[in-house]
Amino acid sequence: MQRQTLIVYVVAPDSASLSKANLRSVWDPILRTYKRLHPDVHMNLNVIVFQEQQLKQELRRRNGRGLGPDLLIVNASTAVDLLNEGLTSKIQVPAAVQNSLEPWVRSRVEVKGGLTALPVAIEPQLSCYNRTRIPSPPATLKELMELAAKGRQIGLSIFPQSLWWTTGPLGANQAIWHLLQSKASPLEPVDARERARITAWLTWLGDASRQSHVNFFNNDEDLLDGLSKGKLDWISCLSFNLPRLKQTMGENLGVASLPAGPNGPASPGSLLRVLAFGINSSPRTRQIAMDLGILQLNPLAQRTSSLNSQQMLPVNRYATPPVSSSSRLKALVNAQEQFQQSYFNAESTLSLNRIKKHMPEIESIFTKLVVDVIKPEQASQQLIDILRQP
Amino acid sequence: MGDLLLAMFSWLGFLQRPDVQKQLVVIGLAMLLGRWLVQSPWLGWMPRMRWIKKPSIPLAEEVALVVAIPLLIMAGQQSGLVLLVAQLKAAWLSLGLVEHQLLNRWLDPVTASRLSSRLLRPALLLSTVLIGLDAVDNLQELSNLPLGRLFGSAINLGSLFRVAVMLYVLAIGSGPPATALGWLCQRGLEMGDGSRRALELILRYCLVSIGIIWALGDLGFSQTGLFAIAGGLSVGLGFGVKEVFSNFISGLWLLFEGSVRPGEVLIIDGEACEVRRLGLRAAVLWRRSDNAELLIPNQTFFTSTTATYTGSDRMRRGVLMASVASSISPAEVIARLEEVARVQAGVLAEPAARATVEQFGNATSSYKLTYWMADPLTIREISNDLKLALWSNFKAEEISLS
Repeated sequence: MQRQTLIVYVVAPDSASLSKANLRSVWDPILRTYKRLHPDVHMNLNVIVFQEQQLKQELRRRNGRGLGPDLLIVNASTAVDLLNEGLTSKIQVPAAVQNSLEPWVRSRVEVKGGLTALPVAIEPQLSCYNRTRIPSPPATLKELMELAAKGRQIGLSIFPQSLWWTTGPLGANQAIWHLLQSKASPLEPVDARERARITAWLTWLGDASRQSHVNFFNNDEDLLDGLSKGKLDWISCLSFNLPRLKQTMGENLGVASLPAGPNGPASPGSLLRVLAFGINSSPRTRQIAMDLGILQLNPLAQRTSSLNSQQMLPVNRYATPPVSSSSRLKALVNAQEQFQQSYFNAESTLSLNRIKKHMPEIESIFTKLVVDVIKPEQASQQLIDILRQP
Repeated sequence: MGDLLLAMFSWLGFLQRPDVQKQLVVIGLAMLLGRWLVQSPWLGWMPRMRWIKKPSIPLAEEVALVVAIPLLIMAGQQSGLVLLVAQLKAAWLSLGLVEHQLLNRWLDPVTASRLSSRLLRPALLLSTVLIGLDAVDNLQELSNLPLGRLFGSAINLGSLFRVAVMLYVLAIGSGPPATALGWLCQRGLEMGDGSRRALELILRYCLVSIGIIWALGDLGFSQTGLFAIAGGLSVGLGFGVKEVFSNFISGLWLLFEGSVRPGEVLIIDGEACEVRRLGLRAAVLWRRSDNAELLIPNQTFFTSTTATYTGSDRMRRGVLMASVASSISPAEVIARLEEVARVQAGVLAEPAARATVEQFGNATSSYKLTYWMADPLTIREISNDLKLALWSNFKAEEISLS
């Protein structure tokens, strides 16, 4: 009997959002299947949780000692960063496995000569609400504001990635995308329609902030806390927050796709969870890690993971999530459809290097707007100036 | 507990990695090389090395480890583990240097040894263990590992560790502040040494008690749990630990009263013994006659009469009986006895030695010589010297002494 230990790092924005029990519900069936296929190998999984901010520094230190992880469960964009900095290694997978991935998923991990990481799950952004206070979720931004007018507490984040979903309903996502892609000089005038759409979006944000029951927060943690403790009735959330909310709210937790607007559906974010491979693994451990990863992509395993976790969707295009048996999974699928309909989504737009470095400035503009220090027109001009910077 | 064992078992998995294996081999070889270099005879033959003091083995090992790091980097191998071991070893070497060069110079040997063995070395050992654990796992994660439930409270590794460290630091570190406060009280309230020592001890026990209460609270013990512990202790005091508790209270009482202090001379089993230490359970006494140390439970001093020579002063009175032929004038004998005692070393001039006639007989008369000494424990030696002096004095005058 061979004894093998796999060191797995799970990267989360905060440890509170991560349920180890939920992780086990995903990993245990995979390990059981692996055990059936390889009865001579005794697998031991050591899962260590790290926060996103400390990840690169920790990896550098641990990799340098030869004590780095065999596998990392991270977002696709983080996996790209880690590979570029030499903290993880590129992988080669059989063509059949690559072909089984959803095309957009595949495009996010493909690099020259292989994959940055192995995608395993999709975790879309959606709306989370208190069912006792809101019997039916708002389908449009107008309904959302009507709820606020009726005294329901609405929570919104001023963090650009979390707020991006509001650009779609107001048509600003396309305008922002065009400005980012434009090679025109910053001195050239901006297209009036694009300016108008951005201003309309920011005007809506400004109007919303003046509603006494619409609350803006500096971080997503406050939103989750607010909903858990009953201080808020409706928030935007990510599906990986669901186990934590479910733990405190129980059956009162309602989940739905985000509200649409006059210019189209919501443009939610969607986290693509991937398995990145460490650089310190022995050849044997690397093989086991790869086998486990590929096992996780199996259509049956993908469906089981979705069903057990109730927070993630399959990346394998041949695996259909069992929506008929779970309303929550149905909400996740709807949210994911919104994400895919919105070509100019947060993942593709805000991950551009050109805008990444300006995130604190953009956040500052939103803050000034919601506390009424600047008018939407001024906020629009400042945002456009940032977006047009080379 | 299962999670902790699982985590510990998983750390062994690192040993399967080629990068780790190579570094462990390099660490082992560097250690052997350092040791061999110091112990090998040809080190002394090298002319340049004669100018340098022969390095110690740990220092040579450290140098070998440091040299190995750039070699590993040049060979394109990982070297972080070797660097970590070299850093930890350097920390231990530095501690040795601090102990030898600073502590032993500035502090008396007993204080330096205590500071080192009770505080500095445990602190460095703890840091080494934590750094080691951080290298193979995530300390934050480890601290959240559940260990089980006690009196309805969930105990995790982090809270247990924090409580253990705090209690240790309180037990060890409460001494200096308690001493300082005791000294201030002694100066301000003009209290005696015994009261000061008692105050110090009580302060230390108060600090430790507060620490224990905090620790139980930090572990999340419910009031029910605390009552259960208090109940258990009450039963324990009633049966099993009654004697211990009785000795503890007696010790505190004696310290406050100041009747049994270090340096006191007490009569135990008919022999004078000096109090060396007054502990919380027992007093340690030194018996001069056979150089034995006696451990006397504190409550003994409460339940039995104890004679002391050092209650109000330290003087002790010695008695010597002598028989001299009745033909000799008693006045002459008395004068002679008192004169010999007066010049005898160790016999106090004041109160002066006094000789008295005890009994007249047909052939011999009995005399009693009483004399005083400053150190109660020297009675045997002084009595012996006095007898020899009397014998010599009386023999010179051809007076028989018995």
